[in-house]
Amino acid sequence: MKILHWYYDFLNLYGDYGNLVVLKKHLLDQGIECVIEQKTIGDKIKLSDYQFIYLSAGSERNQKVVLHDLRSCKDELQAYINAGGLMLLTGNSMELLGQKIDDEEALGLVEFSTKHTDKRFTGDVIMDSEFGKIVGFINKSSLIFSNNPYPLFKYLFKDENLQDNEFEGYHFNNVIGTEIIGPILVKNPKMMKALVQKIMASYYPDLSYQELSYEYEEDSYRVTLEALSKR
Amino acid sequence: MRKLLAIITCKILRFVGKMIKRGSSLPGKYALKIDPNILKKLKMPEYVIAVTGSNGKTSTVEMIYQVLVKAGYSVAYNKEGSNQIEGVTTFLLENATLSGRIRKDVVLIETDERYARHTFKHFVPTHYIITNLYRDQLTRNGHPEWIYDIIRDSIHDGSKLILNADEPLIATYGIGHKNKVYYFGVDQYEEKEMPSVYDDGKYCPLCKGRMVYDYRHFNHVGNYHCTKCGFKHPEANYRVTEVDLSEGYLVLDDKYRIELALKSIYNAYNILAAYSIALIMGIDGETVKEALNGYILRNGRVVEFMAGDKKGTLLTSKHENSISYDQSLRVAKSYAGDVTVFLMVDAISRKYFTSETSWLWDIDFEMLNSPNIKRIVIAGLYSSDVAERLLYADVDFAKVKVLKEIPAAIDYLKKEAVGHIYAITCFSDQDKLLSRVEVL
Repeated sequence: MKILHWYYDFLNLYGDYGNLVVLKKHLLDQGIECVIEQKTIGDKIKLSDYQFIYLSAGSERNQKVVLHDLRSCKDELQAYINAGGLMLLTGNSMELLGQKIDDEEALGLVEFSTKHTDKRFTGDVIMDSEFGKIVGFINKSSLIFSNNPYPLFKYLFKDENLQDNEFEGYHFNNVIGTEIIGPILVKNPKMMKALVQKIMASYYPDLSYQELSYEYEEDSYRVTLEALSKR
Repeated sequence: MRKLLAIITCKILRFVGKMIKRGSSLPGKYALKIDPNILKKLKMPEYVIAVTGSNGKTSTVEMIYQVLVKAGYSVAYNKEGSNQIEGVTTFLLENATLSGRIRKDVVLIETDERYARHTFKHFVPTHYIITNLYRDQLTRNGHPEWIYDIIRDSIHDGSKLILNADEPLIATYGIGHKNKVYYFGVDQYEEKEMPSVYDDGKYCPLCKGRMVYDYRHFNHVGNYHCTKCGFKHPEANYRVTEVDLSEGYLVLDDKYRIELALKSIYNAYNILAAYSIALIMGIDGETVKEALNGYILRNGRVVEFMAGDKKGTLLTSKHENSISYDQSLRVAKSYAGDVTVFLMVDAISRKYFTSETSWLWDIDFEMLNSPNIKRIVIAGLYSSDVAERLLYADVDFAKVKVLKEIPAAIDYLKKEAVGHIYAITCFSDQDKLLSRVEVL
């Protein structure tokens, strides 16, 4: 199996690669070997070679650089998604699939637009989701204006300086986007498990999922959920 | 009249505050309420030196102070590190006469990189030293480019700039600046590779073209040029021309050899910044050498202790700051003997609550695989986050002990530590260790 860590050097602010190295281990534990390929602007990429694509958070300037580059792959990406390709976008990379970022056209795959401000919106969050309660952190300077009919998360708790939205993120086809930054899969074992199961169902239907325990991941989730629930 | 009232109020509150051991921001806060323009009305001395940057501000300012005092200057500086506007107001008014004249030859300020733009609306430093921009406290700071823009707003034409030439983002502040710009830099030296988990120097800060380094000291710090727009490392006016970190010395401008109490490249930059401002002020290099040769910082970031009969050193690091951790891990790895490393992440910040631990993934914990590191003890609320990160740094877990409860972890250290203990944790957590060991 091949994983594409796309724009790994422009979008890498919050230890995001942790998601992929831990995913790789979880897949190996299920008997699936995978390689993570790091690709960036100027590299030759054929999206259909990959079974999973990951993008993460970058500075506002780097996000624009990536947006300009990504436009040339729009049709190919659309085809990848339509064919059921798996994709995860965390932090402000998720904004790339919206209609607009400030005055620039974005990829236009999801119904929302993004406006940057001169403030930062940062804070811990607890979300409700199809994977149960999710813990995480948001760190960005943009506001999102959304009519997106398929949100990923519903806010249960958020720091007060975060935008006053009821829902966050998107989930359509096999694409998941969230503004949560960093190793979200590492800190949310149920979300990791759902992703591993999805990969297995899509590409390895003959394998059956083995229930395994990951002591540190489970404890770090518990500790954070408990700490945030007290606030 | 308002000015006088503000000054007197501040002085009285400060006097009382010192007696009851209160912080230094409150008196300044009240003075600013009485007269919001109080700082504009002060008569500043000839030299107003400001220092900002992500890491090493406090150490740099302390060393500049040593040099200036050695050179015979009287200096007002914010020793307590209260580097936001209220704290700066307190310390300036404390050093002012009732007519508002600063009684010292030099005002020396450590200023928070996010607040400098507000502080310097009130007065403009004559000399502005900008040292580095790292991934630091990203939960508040966003990312280095975000802070870069904020620092830019604090730069006025009235200030002479003293910039780190080896830091691409910071070197760009000199481009087009209307006043004098001085650069300092560390020449290439023989040192084993210092890898980093991420590379913040890969792309040009001006045009996002690919940068190439002739050499790097660590992360994005070194001698670089952009292959697209031609932006390049400016020539340094003040240089460390030789460093030997194992011997523990450096040479400034081929002339002044200084023995290092703290054998790190980061310390070399702090000394170099102090040397640069001294020479700009006309102070002789010999005086700098006398002031800083073998100088041991007083700011308490390195504390020796005994845990039972085991000797240890606390290397106060900053949570949410991977370069600070890398620096401490490098010390543990370079120790010429067996080492036990104690890692504690309990309260991520002193000032706010967060459970954000993504910064752990930016730390080069692979250094823990050094053969001299025999044992690793992990403690605190977020010990599982740390342990998880170590699993993916290929650390041999036979030498790892995870004890979330801090007292139990320290008892374990007292019994089972092998060799010298290096405790690596933050201000926010260090007292949880120091209160349970004997501080030397």
